[in-house]
Amino acid sequence: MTSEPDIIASGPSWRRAHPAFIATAVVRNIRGLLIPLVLIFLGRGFEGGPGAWITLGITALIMLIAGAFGALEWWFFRYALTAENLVVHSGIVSKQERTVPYQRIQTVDLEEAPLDRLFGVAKMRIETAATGGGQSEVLIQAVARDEAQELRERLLRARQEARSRGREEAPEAAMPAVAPIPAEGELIRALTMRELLVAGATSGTIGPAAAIVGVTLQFADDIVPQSWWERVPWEDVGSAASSVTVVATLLLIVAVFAWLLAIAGTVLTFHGFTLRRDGDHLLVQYGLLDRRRTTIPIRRIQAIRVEEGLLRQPFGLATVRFESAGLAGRDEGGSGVLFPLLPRGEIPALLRRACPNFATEVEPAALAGLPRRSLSRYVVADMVSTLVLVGVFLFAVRSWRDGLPWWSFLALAILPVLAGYDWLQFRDAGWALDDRHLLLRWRSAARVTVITQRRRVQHRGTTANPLQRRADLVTFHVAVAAGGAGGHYALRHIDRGVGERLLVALGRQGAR
Amino acid sequence: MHGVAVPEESRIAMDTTPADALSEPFRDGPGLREPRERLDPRARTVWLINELIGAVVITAFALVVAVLVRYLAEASWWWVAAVGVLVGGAMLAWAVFSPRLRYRQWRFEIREDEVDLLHGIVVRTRQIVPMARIQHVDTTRGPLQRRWGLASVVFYTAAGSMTIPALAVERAADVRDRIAALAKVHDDL
Repeated sequence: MTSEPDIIASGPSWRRAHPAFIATAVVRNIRGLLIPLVLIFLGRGFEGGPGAWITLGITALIMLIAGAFGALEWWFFRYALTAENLVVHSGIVSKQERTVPYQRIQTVDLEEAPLDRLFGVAKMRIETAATGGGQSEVLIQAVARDEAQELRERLLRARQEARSRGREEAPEAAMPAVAPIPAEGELIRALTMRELLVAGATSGTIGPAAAIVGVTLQFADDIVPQSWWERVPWEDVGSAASSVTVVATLLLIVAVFAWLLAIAGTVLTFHGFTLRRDGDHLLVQYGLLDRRRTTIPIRRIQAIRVEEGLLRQPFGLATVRFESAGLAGRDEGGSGVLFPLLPRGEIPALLRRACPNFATEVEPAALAGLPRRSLSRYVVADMVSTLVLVGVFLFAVRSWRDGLPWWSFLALAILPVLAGYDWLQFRDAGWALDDRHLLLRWRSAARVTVITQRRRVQHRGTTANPLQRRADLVTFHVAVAAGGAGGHYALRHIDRGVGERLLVALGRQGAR
Repeated sequence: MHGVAVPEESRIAMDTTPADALSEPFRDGPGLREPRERLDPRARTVWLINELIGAVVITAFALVVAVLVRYLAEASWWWVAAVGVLVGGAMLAWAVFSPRLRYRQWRFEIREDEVDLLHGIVVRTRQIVPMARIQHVDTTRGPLQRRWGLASVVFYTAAGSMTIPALAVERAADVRDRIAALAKVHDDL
C-alpha cells in the first residue's frame, strides 16, 4: 500500500503493543464461546468419564488456538509516529495499513477495563472526525500505563503543531505559538468522597437494584440446602407471614439492601470523578474498577442537560450531562455525565469554566411557565387512562375472587399520587430564551433542564393533537445534532401563540 | 440554481422589527404565516392504493387470527364474519377518506432561509428547518409513485430527515435543486 517515506528517512521506530494485548485478544476471541462452554460443563455435571475428557480437550484446544491467534495478532500489530502521521499496521492474513494525519485526530481516549488494570495497561482509542462507521478510529489494545500517558501527550502535541502549521500557511497568520500541553489540563472540579456517597444515596436507581436483590433471593432459595429450610418452624412463620408487619419488614429489608447496592454501584462507577479542561477539550475521568477516560471536544457539545432527581431536588442537587454530536465511529453521539452531583447554585460557574457557550442561569428569572388551562391537559389524560386500568384490574380481581376484597380498592390510591405528579409536571414545565440560549424545562420523574444555543437548533416545530387544539395548546419541539433520541426535546402543552412566536424567534439569528 | 426568485413577502412575517424581536420576541403579533404550497393532487390516488393494500393485508391478518380463535375457542363462523366486516369496514373507510384529508392538510413552503412543513390529520405537525442546517437533499420514487409520475423530496439535517411526499417529478427535481442551492452555505457542528 502507501509507502511511508518518513519512516525510512528517520529510521523506522516501530512500536508493538504491550504483551498484555495477547491476554485481552484471547478474552475477546473466546468471549463468544464462553457461555456454551460453561453450559456444556454444567450439563455434564463433570462426573469424569470419557465425555468430560473430550470436552476438556476441546476447551484446551480452543484456548490454545485463541492464544496462538492472539500472539500473532500482537506480533503483526505495529504502530509508529512519523513526522506527519500516526501509522498503524495490523492483520495476520489480510494486512491493514492505516495512516492518520495528526491534524485529523479528534480525541485520544484511554480506557482501563479490570483485565487491563491487572496488567497495568490501558486501551488507547484515537478518533478522527470522519463519519464512516468504525473505519475512522485506531484502537491500540494494550499500552503500558505510563507509556500511554506519554503517547497521548505526544499525539496531542503533534496535532496542535500540525494544526498551527496549517494556520501559518494560511494568509491570516499571526496565530499564537504552540502552547505546551499540560499533562492533565486544568482541573475544573473533582468529586469528593462525601459527594460520591451522597450521589449514591440519592441516585434513585433503587428499582433495578431491588430487582437484583429479588433475583438473588430467588437464587438463594435454589442453592440453600433443603435441610436448612426444614429447620425453619413453618407453622409459626405461616401464621405470622399473613400479618402485615412481616411483609412490611421484608419489603423494608429488601429496600435497604437495594439502596446499599445502589450506593455501591454509584461508588464503583463514579469513584474519583474529575472534570478537567485542556484547551478546547474536556477530560472526564472516573471509575473504580473500570477506569474511564473520555475526551470531549467542547465545540461539539450541542446541549447541556441538568437532571434533578426526585431524591436530589429537595437537597438542591443535580446531575449535569452533556449531549454532543456523534464522534467518528460512534454514531449515537455522546450523551455523558459532565458532573455526577453538584449543588444547583454551582452549575453556572462550572459551565462558565467547562463550556462557556452554555453558561447561563439555570434558574432564570425569565423562565416562562405554562398557561393555567394546560394543567388539565396534564391531568385529565392520565386520570382517564389510569381509571380505565384500575377498572380492568378491579374487574379481573372480581372474576377471580368472586367479589371485591377491601384491598383491591387500594389501587384507587394511585389516582391522587398521579394527579400530584401531573401537577408537578405542569408547575415545572417552562422555557426561557435570551439572545444566545434556549432553555427548556420539564419533568419526567426527574426535573430536566436543557440548555442549548440557539445556533445549535437543527430544526424546530410544533405538534397539536385534537384535545390540544381545542384548548389552543401545542407541544413545542426542537432537535439538536446529538444523534439518536438524545437530541430531540419537547415541551408539552404550551400556548399556541407562544409556540409560534418561539418558532419565529428561533429563525432569527438562529439560522446563523 | 434555477434562479427561483424568493418574493420578499414569503419570508416569515411578524410585525416587530428583527432587533425588537430578538430582545423581546413575544410582543403581540400575527405569529407565523402558514405555508402555502400543496402536494400534487395525484398524491390522493397513490395514497389510496397504498392504504387499500394495507387494508387488505391487515384484514387478512385479522381473519387468520379470528379463524384460529374460532378453532381454539370453538366459536361460530359468525364471529369470523363479524371480525372481517368490522376490521375490513373500518380499514376501507380509512383508506377511502384519509388520503383526501391528508392531501387537504398537507402544506409546505421553501423560503429563502427555511423549509416550512405543515401536515397531519389527527396530530397537526409543523416543522421548520433552516436552510443552513440542511446537509443534503434527495428525491426518491417508490414503484407506485413511478407509475403515477410522482416523487418525494427527502432532506437531511444532522438531527434527522424530513420528507415532502408526492410531488410531480419535475417539480420534485425543482424543489430539490432549489433546496440544494439555498442550503449551500451550511455550517459545522
